[in-house]
Amino acid sequence: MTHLFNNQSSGPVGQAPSQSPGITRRFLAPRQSNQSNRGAGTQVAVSVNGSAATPPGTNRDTLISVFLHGGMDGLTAVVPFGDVDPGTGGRWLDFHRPTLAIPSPGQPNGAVDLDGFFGLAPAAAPLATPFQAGDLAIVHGVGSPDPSRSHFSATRMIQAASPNMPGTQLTSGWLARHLSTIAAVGAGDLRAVSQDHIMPQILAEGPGALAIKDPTDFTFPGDPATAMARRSLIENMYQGARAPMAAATVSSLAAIDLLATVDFAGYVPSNGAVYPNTNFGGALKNMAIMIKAGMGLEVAHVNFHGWDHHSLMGPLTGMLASMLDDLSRSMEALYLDMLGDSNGYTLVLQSEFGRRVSENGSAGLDHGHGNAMFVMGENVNGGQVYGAWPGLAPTSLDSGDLAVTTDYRDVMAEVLAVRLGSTQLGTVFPNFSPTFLGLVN
Amino acid sequence: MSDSDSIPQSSRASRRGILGASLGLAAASQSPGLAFQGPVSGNNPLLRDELVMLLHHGSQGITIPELNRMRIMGRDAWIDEQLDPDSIDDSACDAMLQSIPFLGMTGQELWDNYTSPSSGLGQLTRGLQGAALIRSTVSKRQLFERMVEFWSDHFSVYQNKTGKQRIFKVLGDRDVIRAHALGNFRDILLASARSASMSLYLDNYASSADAINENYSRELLELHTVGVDAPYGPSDIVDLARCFTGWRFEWPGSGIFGTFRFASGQHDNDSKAVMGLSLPAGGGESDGVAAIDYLASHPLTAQFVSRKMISWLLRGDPDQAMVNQIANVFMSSNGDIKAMVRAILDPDFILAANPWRNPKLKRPFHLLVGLMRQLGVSTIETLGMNQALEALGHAPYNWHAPDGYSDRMVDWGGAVLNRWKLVSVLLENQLPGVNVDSAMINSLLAGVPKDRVAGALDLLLCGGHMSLHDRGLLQGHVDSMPNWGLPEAREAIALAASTPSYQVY
Repeated sequence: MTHLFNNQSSGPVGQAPSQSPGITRRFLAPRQSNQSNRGAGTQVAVSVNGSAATPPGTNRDTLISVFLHGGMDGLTAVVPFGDVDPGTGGRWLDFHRPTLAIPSPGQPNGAVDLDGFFGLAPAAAPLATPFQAGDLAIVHGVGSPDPSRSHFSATRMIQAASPNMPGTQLTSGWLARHLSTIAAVGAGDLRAVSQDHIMPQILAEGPGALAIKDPTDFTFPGDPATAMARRSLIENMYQGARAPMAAATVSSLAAIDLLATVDFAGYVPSNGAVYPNTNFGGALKNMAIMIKAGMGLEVAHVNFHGWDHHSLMGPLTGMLASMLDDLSRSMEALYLDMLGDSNGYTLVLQSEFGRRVSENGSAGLDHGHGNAMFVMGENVNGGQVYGAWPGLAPTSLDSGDLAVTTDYRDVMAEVLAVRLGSTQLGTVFPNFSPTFLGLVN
Repeated sequence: MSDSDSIPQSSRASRRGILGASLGLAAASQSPGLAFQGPVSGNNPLLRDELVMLLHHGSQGITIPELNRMRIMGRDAWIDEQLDPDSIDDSACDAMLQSIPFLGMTGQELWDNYTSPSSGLGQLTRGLQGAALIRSTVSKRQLFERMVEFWSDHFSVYQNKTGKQRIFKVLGDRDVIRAHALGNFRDILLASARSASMSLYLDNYASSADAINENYSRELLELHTVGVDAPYGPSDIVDLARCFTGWRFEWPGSGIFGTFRFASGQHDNDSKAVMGLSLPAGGGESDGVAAIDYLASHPLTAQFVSRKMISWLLRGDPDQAMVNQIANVFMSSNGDIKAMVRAILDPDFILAANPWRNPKLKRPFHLLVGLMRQLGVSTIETLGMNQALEALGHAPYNWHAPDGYSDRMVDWGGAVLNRWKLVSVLLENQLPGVNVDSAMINSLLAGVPKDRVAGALDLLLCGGHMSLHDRGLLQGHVDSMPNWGLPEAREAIALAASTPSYQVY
């Protein structure tokens, strides 16, 4: 299936941040799996002490950051069908979820087998395309060390990256700090776009970061005959205006000019890719267009709302299924569209937390903890599920939730260091020494 | 768009001279729009500024007529009047609301009349959004509408969660939010807990003794009462959810769709412990009421709600002393919302909060409604307004999550281009259903010499609080205009409303 151990000989892949001398790459979780290529449950760690293989300058990837708001159920998206109770031989998932568990591969409505242990929900089947091509990696049992099950606290702390700093208030986002600690790829006025109406915490205070809901209609208003004079006036007025208005004005005026050169309407995706006609599909398509336009975009952030399924979750035919279908078809389209393009990207996807392992009384799931993350791109060591699987046995759970065995910052830090050229992980992720999993090369 | 000057460009240019003459001619007559009635509050400029600040924060934006009215009647009388909204004749607003026929309907009537394909639930969504826009723009009960907006975010319900949610949001808006916006906190909290609107939105209707649903319980603590930093844990959330098991609503077949129903068979009747509140077994429906009473009188609720209300009415990020002062009012008055509002809008409190130095950003709704009020727009179709706000991410009741729309400058402040676009479209009379006609523009700037336009717009839009920087640049731009007619006047107003000064209050 995959080149599990081949990666060891693929050379140094990351630049060790100065704060963490012992960077290791963890490949596999010890778990109950009969897969022969899993290293028999041993954890493989490889020291990476070589020099950086970071793509220099303009060869840095654009990071596509996707955040699923509400708490995506990672146990439906990536089903641990191989996790069974050794006493009964039954799946733990069925023990916890009498009505909501996705069946195993081969059964009606069964999961799409990934590696004999994990499978994709049927609605997420399109993700098998990049996974089997080795360009989609999944991390399971990943999350924040912060125990909060509050949407708003968890989101804030994940995006500010201050989960282990109680009492401290980092007002900036970790992607903003990345931008602040590395030279711009382009002119610097428009470095990051969040496709939304308001600035997400993850990019708060970021230089050149702008929230643009509709990049296809980002034009200066009013009579074209007077536009130059009015624009100049507004530019002068907003010099010295309150944050974030002053910087946003500079970025907005630059974005007007940059986006005016981009042909959104006439865009034809490559490789026959078809984006779903949805908000999320449209957002990923617009991001692909802007990345291919080579305008120096370093970060593209997309929010996808509505994953808080406390009732009538519908993992096979209902709400969750239709959202997973949207998500996975959009990601597959992006993957195909960007395949072979010289403008590199890496996509990372996460949610503020996973959902409770056991279903509630209303065919839904309350707030949980550990979850799955996706990392996609042509430089991703994909086709594998990473992380130390914590297990679904009742004694393995964290207050009824999937435990977190991998810190999400391990994933983000590796992508930043290896694909975006960051050498300042200590500033981006304060009080944290990342451990690279070998997700990207 | 009935305004004649919104015709195509080619013919607009030829009419410029005539319209310019119109502005010039009007110079001879007294302009009612800009005439200040003099410093009724004496010659103390600080006190006069304080009235501007009070109106800035106690309404959806200052207007000259309202400022003059406040000066004449006095600030205390104005607050007394505004805190007694039923005493205010609002017939003009009420007349406009006649176009929305369902606002007074019961849940069953809504179900019976709005679930057919030809008369669908989408009408409820758009109609309720329209009602919010009409009331905020036209109503004389401005402080009341400000508080309605506050509670609509505090007890935020996404109206499009399901079809039934659209019906329930109509009920919740009327029977929870508007019924108690200037009432008592305990009452609005209990009304919310019993409402079909909140019950469906946060899934409490599906919670039962053998299988609880934690969604409402968690947000009741985190968002509605004590706040996320309060000392509660998973067992508190579970036990609080158990208090509300069996709190449900009637279904359409009952004939009283959407009214509260206590399903005793679904209630968990064992004992419960929530943050120091111990409830013995057998409490039945009173468990939930006891939990509401406990949370509504909790000192941390007083802190949380007071901080949020100060942030809404006066200044984001108030200091702890200010919060303590209002929290004391909350505790001593048993959650009397009027008493809290009165304390926050007290002149000494406003001076201490210093919103001059610590301004808030107008959210898109506020920006649009406030500017329409200042322009004097009185006849509106709201569909275009609502679509414009959707483009800025701020149409009423469309926020998905239960925390409500953000009120922070850091969140909204980056989307400057959308704000310039909004005011430009409005002033060019391109917003469907909103008529900003030539007579209106003429009356606003009639009699103002070209070299004093920025000062006039400062008074009209900012109450004299436009920065010298913005005002100087604006006047310089007007000075450089080769002509001075209606198109230029529209442009100047749009630019004044695009200044950094105008974005804040």
